[in-house]
Amino acid sequence: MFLALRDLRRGWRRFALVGLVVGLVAMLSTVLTGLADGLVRDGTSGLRALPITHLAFAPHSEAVFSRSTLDERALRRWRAVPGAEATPIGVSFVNAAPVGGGRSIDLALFGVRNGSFLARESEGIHGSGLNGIVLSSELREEGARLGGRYRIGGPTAAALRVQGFTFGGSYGHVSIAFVPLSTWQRIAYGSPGGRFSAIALRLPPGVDVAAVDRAAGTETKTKEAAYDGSPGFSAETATMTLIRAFLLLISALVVGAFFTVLTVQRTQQIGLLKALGASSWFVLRDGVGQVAMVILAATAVGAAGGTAVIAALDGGSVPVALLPGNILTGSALLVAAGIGASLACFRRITRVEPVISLGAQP
Amino acid sequence: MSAALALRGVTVGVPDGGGVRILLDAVELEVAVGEVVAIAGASGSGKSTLLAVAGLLRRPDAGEVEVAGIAGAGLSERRRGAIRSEHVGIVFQSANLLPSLTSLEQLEMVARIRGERGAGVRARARKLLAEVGLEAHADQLPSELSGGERQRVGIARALMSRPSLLLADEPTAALDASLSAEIAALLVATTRERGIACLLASHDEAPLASADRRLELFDGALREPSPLRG
Repeated sequence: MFLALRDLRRGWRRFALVGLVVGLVAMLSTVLTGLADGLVRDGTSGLRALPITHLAFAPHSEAVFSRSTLDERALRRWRAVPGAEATPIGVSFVNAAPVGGGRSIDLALFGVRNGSFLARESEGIHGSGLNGIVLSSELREEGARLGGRYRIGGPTAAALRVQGFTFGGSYGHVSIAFVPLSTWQRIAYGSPGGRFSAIALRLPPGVDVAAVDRAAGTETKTKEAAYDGSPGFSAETATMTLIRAFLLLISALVVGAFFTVLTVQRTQQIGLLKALGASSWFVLRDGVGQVAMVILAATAVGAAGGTAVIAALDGGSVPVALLPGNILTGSALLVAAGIGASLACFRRITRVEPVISLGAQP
Repeated sequence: MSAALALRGVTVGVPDGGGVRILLDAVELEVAVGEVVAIAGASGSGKSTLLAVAGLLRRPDAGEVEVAGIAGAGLSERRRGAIRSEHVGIVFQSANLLPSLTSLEQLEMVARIRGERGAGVRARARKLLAEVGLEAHADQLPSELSGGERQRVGIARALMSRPSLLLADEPTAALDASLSAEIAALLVATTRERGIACLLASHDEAPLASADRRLELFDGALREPSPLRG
């Protein structure tokens, strides 16, 4: 790195353009990471906030609530597991119209059984028990008020009184609301009792989930794995992953092209170093080390800029999330892609003959 | 005197149109320890190719090259590089300095390639720069030096590895007549002081005149210079 460091210090202008491009790519990649994480968080925050470890769905439902219907038999089997807590949950998307007119609201309606751990431990429900509707606190901004009444399922449906507000969560980017399970069953199936979407579980470590699934006729996912069933989750994450993959590719191509041009420009210098006794590995280490320093510095500055943008957007209407682990991983991938691309010049460097330093024919 | 460099039956040809042009034709040459041998010849006669083969910078098509008693023609590039680093110093035409390194760092770079570092390396580099009269220019970049100063740095760099063989390719070609004589004198004096074998190729009279032995490369063969050619 003796030559690389001095070359960087005294000829930094040569590296400014590639540094700028890599920095901008890092910034864009970081902002996209923040957006992707924000979208994921926004789309699953309702599920994320539930005090559960697992969700049991009907087989082949792929963690999609609308594809899953379970009954009390499955619930009894899960309740028989020592140390496990199990309670039914119904989830569906509805439109709620305020009684007396006004703008209706879309809701991800969670039906939970009164007295269950879901009802007990969810903010805004505990206390007198769930007998009306508890809305996501975000809906206050849309005019929802305590004591207000909403009808779900048409003008003839019974009105539900807003009895409280819970955490600001959403599911599939739709604000959540809690109602008693019997109310949810009436809305979803037309009559109370019997069926529900899934079983919310709190499992102690060591439970043989697969064995209980076989006995109960369920398909159990961890809470995190159940995010996949959130509407739009897979498409959103796939799109963001694809965009970030393209950014990685673009960055690798830019760095690769830059290093190729740099290697061609330095052919005479490489020949000279070899004539002085340097091995191809010595030359490569110096060159790749130099590029790595440029990429590292540019990525650090770009990622810092991107983080600042995310921090500025946080709390606004754009869903973003600042997850340092994901930002660091994205930045590390950018650095690795750039270094990998510069290593592609290894063959070109090994082919440079030391004899060119004398101007003689190789 | 034992040979610091020996070329035995060295032949080198280069593609030329459909055929092959022979640059070196079964060349035999020995340079003894402490001996300064000058190779004269017209441009394109193969002087640089001869030095390239002698410095293990390229393999001959046939024949053997021995540097410090080590046969190098058949060795790998890595091994030949190691022998160069250990035994051979090269003074290039136009100095051929690394543009981003100061005079002192040019010399330190040679040590780095050899895996040497530390205060001792820096002290040796300064001493060598002082010997070629450039102590005051130790921290200057090549772009801040004159042509003669650059070539002095090139000579000091070639001596940095304590070589047993010094190769000089047209060391005065880019200099005017007075500087040419000065650099030639410096080159020969520093090699003689150290008892280093020196093979230099030039078409300038100054370096040729100061050599112990003078040969001419003509038609791929080395011969004693003809009186007519001087």
